[in-house]
Formats: sequence, C-alpha cells, structure tokens
Amino acid sequence: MKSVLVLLLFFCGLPVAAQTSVLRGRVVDPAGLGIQGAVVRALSTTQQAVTNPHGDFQLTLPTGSFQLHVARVGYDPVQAVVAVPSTDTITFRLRISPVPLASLVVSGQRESAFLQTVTPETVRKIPPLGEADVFRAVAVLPFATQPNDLKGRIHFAGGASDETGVYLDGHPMQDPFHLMGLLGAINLAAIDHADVRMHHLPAWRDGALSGVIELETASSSTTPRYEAAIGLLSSSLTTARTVGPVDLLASGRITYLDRIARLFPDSTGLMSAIPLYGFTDAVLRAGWTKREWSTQLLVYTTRDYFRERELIDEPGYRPLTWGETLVGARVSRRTGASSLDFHASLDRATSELDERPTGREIVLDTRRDRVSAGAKYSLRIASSQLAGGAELDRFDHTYVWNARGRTDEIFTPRTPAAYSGAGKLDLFSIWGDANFDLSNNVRLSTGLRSTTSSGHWWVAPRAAVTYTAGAVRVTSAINRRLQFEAQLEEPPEGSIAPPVFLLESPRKVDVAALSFEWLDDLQVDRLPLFRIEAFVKRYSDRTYMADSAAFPSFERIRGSATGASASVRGSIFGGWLQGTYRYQRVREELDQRSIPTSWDAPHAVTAMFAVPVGDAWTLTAVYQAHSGRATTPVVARIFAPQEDAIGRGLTDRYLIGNRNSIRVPAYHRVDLGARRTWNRKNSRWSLSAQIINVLYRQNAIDYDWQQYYARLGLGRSDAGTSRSGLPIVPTVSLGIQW
Amino acid sequence: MVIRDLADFSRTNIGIVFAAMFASACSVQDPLLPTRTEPFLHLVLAPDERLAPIENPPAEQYAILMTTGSPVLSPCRKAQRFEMRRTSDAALFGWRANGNCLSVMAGEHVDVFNHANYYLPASPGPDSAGSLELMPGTEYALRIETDGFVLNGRTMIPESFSIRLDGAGDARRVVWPRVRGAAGYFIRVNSGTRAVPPRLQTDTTFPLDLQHGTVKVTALDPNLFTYQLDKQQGRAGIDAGFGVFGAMKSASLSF
Repeated sequence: MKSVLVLLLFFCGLPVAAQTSVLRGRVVDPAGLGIQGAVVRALSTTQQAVTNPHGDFQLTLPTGSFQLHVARVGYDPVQAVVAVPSTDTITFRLRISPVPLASLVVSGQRESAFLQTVTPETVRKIPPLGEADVFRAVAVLPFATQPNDLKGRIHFAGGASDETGVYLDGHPMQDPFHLMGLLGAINLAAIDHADVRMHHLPAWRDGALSGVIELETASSSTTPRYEAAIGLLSSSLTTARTVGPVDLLASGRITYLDRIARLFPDSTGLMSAIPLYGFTDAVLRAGWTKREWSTQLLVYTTRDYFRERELIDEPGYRPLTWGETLVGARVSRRTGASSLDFHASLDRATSELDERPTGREIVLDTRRDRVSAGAKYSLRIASSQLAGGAELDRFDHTYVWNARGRTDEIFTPRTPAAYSGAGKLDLFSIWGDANFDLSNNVRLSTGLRSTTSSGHWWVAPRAAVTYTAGAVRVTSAINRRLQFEAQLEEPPEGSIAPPVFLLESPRKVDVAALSFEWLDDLQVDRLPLFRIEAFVKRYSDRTYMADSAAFPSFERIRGSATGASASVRGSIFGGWLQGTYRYQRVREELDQRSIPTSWDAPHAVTAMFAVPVGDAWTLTAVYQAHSGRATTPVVARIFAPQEDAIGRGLTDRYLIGNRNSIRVPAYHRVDLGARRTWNRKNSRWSLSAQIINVLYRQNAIDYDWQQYYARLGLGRSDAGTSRSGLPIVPTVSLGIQW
Repeated sequence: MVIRDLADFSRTNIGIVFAAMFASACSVQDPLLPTRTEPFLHLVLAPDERLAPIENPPAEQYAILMTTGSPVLSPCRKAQRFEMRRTSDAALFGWRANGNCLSVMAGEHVDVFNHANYYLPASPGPDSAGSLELMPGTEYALRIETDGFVLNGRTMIPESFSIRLDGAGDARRVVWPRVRGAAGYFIRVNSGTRAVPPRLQTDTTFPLDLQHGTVKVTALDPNLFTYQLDKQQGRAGIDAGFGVFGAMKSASLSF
C-alpha cells in the first residue's frame, strides 16, 4: 500500500511573513532515514525544492492550501495537502519501489564506475565498534579490507595499509585514527559523505598507491542543525548552520570513561581495570560565498593519550600522546563553464612520550609535517571537460625515540629500539585531465601527472573508458601511480605510531581494472544493483625494510595483486540487502620467491541487511568472513645452548618456516544492531544498540607460538596457539538532532 | 533473467546464509605443529669442562639424542649405531647409552647432565678411546644411525690457548691469540659483586671494568659458534636432523 505519513509536529516559533511563509519538511525512507535528492513540488505553482543529504527541504509559499508532490526515483511518489502558513515540520515517508528496467533512461553524466560513495546513513546502519565510524563502513566495499578485528587501517585492492590516502575536504591527512589504529578519528556527524577511489584515480589525485578516501564535511543549510550523541565510549556535539554570510560547521567529540573511573573508589578493582586512555577530535569549518567566489577555512585536530597508571603522579612524566592537526583553506571561482580552485594546507602529525623523569629511559618525540598547496582550472566545452593544475608538497619529518622493550607496542617488531633522524622532501607536480565522449555511449577519460623531486621527473599516465548501454555500464581503466612515503613494515595490531619515511624515488604501481555494472536507479550510496569487478596490479618498486645496519634502509622489491569480485544489492522486507564476494591474491617477491603478503586472504564475503520493523525501528546485520590472512609458521621446536651456560643447559629454540606460508583460521563475524528513531517537538531522537561479534567467535589475529609452548610447559589446558580478536562487544548510544 | 527485486532471492537464501553464519561460528580450531620424527642431537666435545655432576668422574662427555617431536613432547631416542672416530687415526671412541631416557616437555628446562642418554666414559675399555683422549686441535667424525635416520658429522676441538691481562685502569682488558679451530669466543666474567652479561664475539680482546673477579674465555668451533649465533640455525656440524655436533676449549684468568 502506498502510504503517506504526514506528521504535524511542533511549533518552532518562526515569524510568519505577511505574504509568504517558509514551509519546512523532511523526506525519509521506510527506516526513517533522510532521502537526498527527492523533489518536492507545490502543484499549481512553480515552487519546488530538492532535499539535502539529510532529507530536509524548505519551500517559500504564499498563504493558502497547497498540494505537495514528493518524488524520488526508486520510491513511490506521494502527495499531501498542507496549509500555509504552517510552523509544523512536515515529514514525508516514501516507500521503496524499484522502477522497471525498461523504463530507465540514462541521462546526464554518471559518476565513474570506480568511484563509490559512503554516506552517514549507511555508516549508521553498520553496527559500530563503540562509535559509528566511516572507515568501518568503507571496509565493507569490495576490495576494501581490514585484516582483523583489531586493525582499523584499511587496505585497498591488495595494497598495504600505508597505500590508502585520506583527504578531508581535499586536504591530505596523515593518520586520522584513534585507539591505536582501531577507530577512525572523524566524528560521523561532521561528515557529509566519503568518496572512495580505488581502481582509477584522476590525475589531480595521486600520492597513494592503492586509492584514496575523500571525506567531505557536512554542508550547512539555512536551517540550523544540531546533533548530539552520547555513547558508552564518547559523546559528541555538532552544529551546522549559517551565521550571516558564513556557512559554519563545528563538531567535537570527547571520551571520558577513564576520567569517570578515577572519581569512584575502587574497592572491587573494576575501576582500575579501565585503561587510562582517551581521545578528542574536532572539526571547525567556515565558508562564505561572494558572487562567483567561495572561500572555505578548515581546522581539524585529534589527540589520543594513554597514561601509565603507576606513573601518573610522577612529576615530569609526559604520557604517551599522539594525533594530528590540519589547517586548510580553499578558494574557488565558479562561472558557467569554468572553475578555478586553490587549496593550501598544513598537517602536523605528532607522537610524544617521556618517562625519563620517572627513572625509565623511554622517550618518544616524532613530528611529521606536510604542507600542500595547489591550483586547478577546469573548463567544460559541450560534453567534454578539461582540467589542469599544479601542486606543491613539502614533507618535513623528525624522529627521536628510545623505546626499550616497547618497540613492538609503539612501532613495529623490526623497528630498532632507539633512533634519531630527520628527513625532508619537496615535490612539485603538474597534471592534466581530459574527459570527453567518443560517441553517444562511450566516454574516455585520460590524464597525465608528472612529479619532480631533486631534479628527477616521474610520469604517471592514466586512462579510463566507459561504455554505457541502457542499464549496463562497462568501465576499464589503466593507471600508473606514485608514492613518496613508505612505512617500515605493516604495523601490527595496536601499533601506536608506525613510523613513515620519505623516499627520494617513488614507489610505483601499475593498475588495470575492469568493471561490469547493472545500474538501477535504486542506488543507495551510488552502488549498482549488480557489479562484477576485476583488477591487476603490478608493483615495480614496492619497499621492504632491509636487514641492514643502516636505518631506515629499504629494498626495492616487486609485487602483485589480483582480484575479482561480484556484488549484488536489492530490497528485502522493505529494507535493503547488499552482498559481496571477492577473490584476491597479494604477493611480493622476496629472495627470488613469490610469497603472499601478511594481509593476503584469498576469499572474502560480506553481507549487510537493514530491515525496518514498524515505523520506528531498523534492524541491521553485517556478516563478514574471509579465508584467513597469511602468517609465518614455526616449523620445529628444538633446543640450543643457554646463552649464559653453553654446554650445560639447553633452552627452547623455535625454527621459523617459510614467510607467510600458512594462514590463520578463517575469519567469521556477525554484528547485529537495532536503531529506533522518533521525533519529539522539534528534535529527532535515535537510540542505537549493537552487539559486535554476536556469535562470540574468537577470530584469530595471529599465532603466538611462544605463549603456546609456555602454557603447554606449565601443563595448562588453555594453550591455544592464536591471539584472539574481539569478544562480544555490546554498545549503546543515544543521539539527538534538532 | 531480469532481477528486479532481490527479495525473492533473498527470502529463499537468507536462511541458508544465517545457517552458514551459525555453523561457521564454532570455536576456532588451531592447527598444531606437525610432529617431527627427525632426531635432535646435542653433542659438544669439551675435554676440559667439568661437564658432569660433582659425584661423577669429571672428564665424562655427554650427548642428548631425542626425537624433535614438536610441539608438545620431545621423546628420548635410541641409536642403533653411535660411532665417533678421531679422523687422524680412525680411533674409535666408546660412546655408550646410559639408563636415562627422559622425554622433554614443551617449555621444560633441559639439563645436559640429567637428560643425556649417551655418555663417553673417561676410559671405556681396551677397544675404544675415552674422554681423556679427546685432544685439542684434533678432528672427530660422527655417525649415528637411529630408526631410519643417518647423521654424519665432523668437528675439531679448538687448540689450547691462554689469556692475559693487558693495559691498566679503565683501559684494562683481556687478550688472547686467535685460536686455531675456533670461529668465535664466549666470554663470561664472574665478579661476585656485579652481574656482567656473557658475550659471544669474534674479537680476541675483552674490556674489563671490574677490579676483581674471574674471566673465562671459551673458544667455540665453527659448528657451535654458528649454531649459537644464528637463532634460526636448526642444524650445525651434522648433515641430517636437528641440533649440533660441536666442540669448545676454555681458558680462565683471575684478576
């Protein structure tokens, strides 16, 4: 049954103009989530509005009674009669109704097949790990993986985790993660959407071998929007509004569990079990437009800390802190057919620790600065689009550390205990992109980017061809990409500050990708109804930390990644379902052998459901599985003379087998969530409850043979060989928008 | 086929998907290391070491032969043939099995005396040589046959040497000549007042920053030195199985 739910809500005390009034409303889907792009028309007038990303709209109408018509492809249209003036906010709830394929007419310029978008609506449907996290949602896209429960950094298309670039409003970020890489350091309420580019990067975007996540901050509207969330882990407050000519976004998030724990007497020992860990993050954006010019200033900052309980009262003790601060500006000029953009930013990522005043020798002081600036000019001629520009990047790193006994925890296992060094790198790039139609249904995108450093030039060409026929789209792309930074090695779970070093000559990868899509206008987050993708990557210059007295010292090795995936999406029980299977192999050539990388897991399946229950509830489920990542086995336990008693006593010696020649057990996880939304006065409330790993499957992260043998020696029966990931994790949060 | 709405597909298969999810959620079964049947040998010739409990004759030599058997247990093992000869004159040494046959649990400390299941007496009898005839600077060949495995090995006991003090004050150090048959040196300092970590090195000097104590320098043959230096070395001095067939010679000095 087609239904219209027109909910007259509450007075909001707006002044009523003498002749016309502003009518405000919202268009939502069956789950109560805002629908972007719905057209609201006042019949018999010329007035119409398009809903914003939150589903909000407003119409200016004269006094009287009007019939409103609300339509969005993929939903049943609805009509309702409203009286103007009205201080009520009107809500239209649309039912999903896929349009027959035969009636589809593809018109206008579709986005690239290799651009996928994740919106906050989707993120909120995924049961979060403590906090709704855009990176967790990105990880359910085909070829985007997080190898295990305790690593939030994302691998794209078989690349290492440092090959994924993150941008905020076009400005590069360096390490936007909380909780030792487990959680993204961006408050979801401050995000409008995240664009994910994996298989094809336009020439204006480079510097990350495997792809980029481009976060765009939430837009403001003339209607002030406030959003607050209270969760077990943290609370946040966000506002997006216009103040005079200024478009303003302010968002902050803070944790408090450790602070609260210190206030209570600890007779049970429970409070002392809570780690003294916490984080903050904040985004402040101000923008204004004058004629064809628009300006935007952005400040983003995040900080994590971890205090040692036994040292916290020691004078001079500086606990472990890490985070980054980004300051950026964009200036754009848009005219009918052309646009001119300038951007500049400074991003500083730091980590600090000083336990020397307490008698320990541990100290950490690292700083990574990145200054980026660029200009871009775009011109549209008929259906063709040309763009060109230049960019300047300056990197300045300093590292000082002495991390005796804590190298594994802070960095990576092969990082030396002590180091002091610095590095600088200047890059200048020029680039050009051209997009034009070869025929009615074939579009060609070509680009070239050339980068210079220390007198050398490197060229990275790329091209993509898109063929569209009815609902079918086939896209192929080839790319060369360059990256001038490298981490020492893949950081383990919980690594706080994996060091990144600058390269005088870049790492290189060549990518070829093919996509077949069956498009449907039932597109949520621009995902098609059906998609098959495949890619091949060849690394000619992958870096590998050399066993050398010099530090850092990288060997250049070859590598490869190949993959194929199939994705489906559709409606189910009034909600939606999305499922992906992917096959992927990632290998590198070491010692003249081709071996899997430590994040290689050939088979992976992801399934997501979001089903409305009643008018207010949405139930969600996410199932993730993969065939277990590669790891290095212990092939034998033998004995060797004790270091202090050669010839008298023997101790265990573990012989390591071929690198990454076995796999940890297959990974399976089911997360469930329930979200209830309701309106009260002029506010919108939501209550979310989730259970992560509901089936309590202790997924193995890696083997821990030492611990295994030690426990066996003690005769313990719980001598499991693997380190486990998450237990069952329940979370609850309360949100309010007004 | 036109898929308009996946609901039909999903309703049919959603139960299967959930069933698979529950089935896959059983406890993780970790693969154990495969049990290895290769022998493990520890035989280090040390003619001047007191490698025996105090109540035994001091010059006996000991060897441990067991099945590698990871991960849980390394069982004691018997050899059908345990033969060691001096290469210069093919003199046979009289290694014998003793009554010991202790298996070693994972994580258990292995004491050469207690776990040795083969020993070389000081004077085994008229037909074979004993430990008293092990001479520095001489080479020995080993052949062990045990349940289908054959281990051949060769080692040379480093030459005798002496150490001396050199320098004074902060520059005081122990020095010794490069020892023939040795690839490296193991240095232990015993002061009674301060712990000095033992060191494995190839250099023939060792700085002393203590006033009084004892220093002991042990010259290690290439097999034992390699085995000790490289923590991923599974075998040294033998051509099969795991373990080491090596030799060492020591010199001490009080200061």
